[in-house]
Amino acid sequence: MPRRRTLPIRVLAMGSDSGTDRIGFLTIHRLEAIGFKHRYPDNFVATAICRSPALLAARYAPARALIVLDAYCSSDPLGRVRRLAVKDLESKHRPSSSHGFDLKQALQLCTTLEGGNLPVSVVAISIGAEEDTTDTQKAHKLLEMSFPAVLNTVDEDIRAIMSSRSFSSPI
Amino acid sequence: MTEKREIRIKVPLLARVEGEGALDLVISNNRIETLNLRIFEPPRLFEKLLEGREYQEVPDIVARICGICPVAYQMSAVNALEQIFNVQPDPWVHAMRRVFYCGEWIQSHALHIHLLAAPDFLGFNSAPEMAGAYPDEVRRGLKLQSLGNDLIRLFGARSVHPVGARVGGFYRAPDQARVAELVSDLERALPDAAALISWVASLDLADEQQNFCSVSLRHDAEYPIMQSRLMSDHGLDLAIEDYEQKFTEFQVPHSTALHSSLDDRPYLVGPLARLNLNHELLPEATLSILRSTAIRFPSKNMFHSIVARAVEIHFAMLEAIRLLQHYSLPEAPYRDVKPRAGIGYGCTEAPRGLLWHKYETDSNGRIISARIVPPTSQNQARIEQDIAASLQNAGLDQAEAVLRLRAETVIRNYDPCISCATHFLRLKIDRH
Repeated sequence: MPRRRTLPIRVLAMGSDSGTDRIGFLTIHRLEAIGFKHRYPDNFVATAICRSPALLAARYAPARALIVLDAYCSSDPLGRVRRLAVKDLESKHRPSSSHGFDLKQALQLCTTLEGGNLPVSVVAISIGAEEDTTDTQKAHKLLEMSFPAVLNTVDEDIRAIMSSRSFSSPI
Repeated sequence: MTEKREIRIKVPLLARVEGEGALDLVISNNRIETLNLRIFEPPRLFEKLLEGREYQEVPDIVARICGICPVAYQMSAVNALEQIFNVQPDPWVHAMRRVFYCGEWIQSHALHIHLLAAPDFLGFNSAPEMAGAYPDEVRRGLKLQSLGNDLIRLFGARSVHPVGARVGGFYRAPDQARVAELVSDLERALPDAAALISWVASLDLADEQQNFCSVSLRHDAEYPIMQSRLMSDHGLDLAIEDYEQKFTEFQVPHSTALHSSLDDRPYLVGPLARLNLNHELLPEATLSILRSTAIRFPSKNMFHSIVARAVEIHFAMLEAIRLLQHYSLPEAPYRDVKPRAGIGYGCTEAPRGLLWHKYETDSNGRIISARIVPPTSQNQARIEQDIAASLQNAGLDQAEAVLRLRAETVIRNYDPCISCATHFLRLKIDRH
């Protein structure tokens, strides 16, 4: 689709400003601080933070591709980085501030509106079994643990799009 | 002998509403025995959290109550605190607050219509599913939603939990170039807002008339958004300071959100109530689009709420254009505030309806007590009344799946914000 080729790949951090849920925001700030997007051709990559899934389709699609950075809860070791398929996303808790419109639905809406042609990658960072809002430093520790793997994963996804290959875990 | 038929419908977690709620319904022998809109989300204790805080902190704290209607919380709070401190915001602040608020109506209503409510009326389970069949309509809705977000960001720096509002005005005034850009965007999108009214008015909405009392703010000269007086279509005409004389909040066992009554009866707040009481104050451009549809206000059909939301989007866009088109930078975007002790009241029209705040401060402006009455708790009793009437209209002998969908559609039609609504009554223990 020629129109899409002129659009940037959007690397979006989802989450909030509190507790370990802010790992996505911290990661995007670190990516920006190291000049990550300048590794690629001009205007090829755009970064942003998104505080609500309800905003995602309205503000950040269309795009050449979406790479979403978010926290995930599981028994995985803290800081582990996984690529998740959109179909496997579920909300452990009902997302607040979203009117029940969660990340999975938001990404499905984006891809539907792009005729199923929008590559989406969810790069998820383990924050343990539960979100921790008590330890104010924990999100920073998670960032140090996960950042090298996040950087590699996001770079891999962007290079896959540059060479017109799809992501390794598409929808 | 007719066989006794008992239907038990449990919707354990309501979808496409904000927060955690459920519906318990027991129908026995073609009669509703139990109907509880059960709100089990824990109370969030914001009123207690505000106690002891400095007045300057209040707008940012209350914005955290809701990610969809933070502007409403901020505006009710600053109005109440300014009343205590005897501050009259200048005309620039008044106008820009109205624009800020229009942004919230546009984004909240567009989100509700397209992502939450319309799938019910078009027979889809979700917005992504509906987008497959109605991509242009959903894209149009997202575009309008985005414009609303842009207006909030203009004054609030960000659209979710904005941080630009302060007691006395705003922390900074937006620059003229950005305002001019946004006015152009709004003007270009007006035909979309007009088309949205026609589209929602053409949906297959059940023709269901109910008796209810509409309550909203009412202003002599403008469509109500902030302050002014409380009115109803049953003769209420009340200063917002006297709210507690007529309206009662009470706890029910099945809900962590308080119910409200007006003269001991349920009542409706929100876009339909606003339009029922204020439709003649809409601009002619909006009224003429509305006249081209088959829908008339005042309306006793609760499903016309979706039309009311579309109408308010069009109005809010026109209003924002009107107020911004001759925009100039003020000398200062706020008035200085000198705190003092007192009690103040703020009442504004959140997207979902009346949002009433009351604060008491000490001589340094520190919060002694806070009381917040959000629209969803005011609508709760009305929602239960509506579900009962609507299911009876549909026929209680219908299949369970039909009754369940009908009940969920009725609930979603109010766009309830359960997270905003969860409060507990003050606990008083007498020990002898």
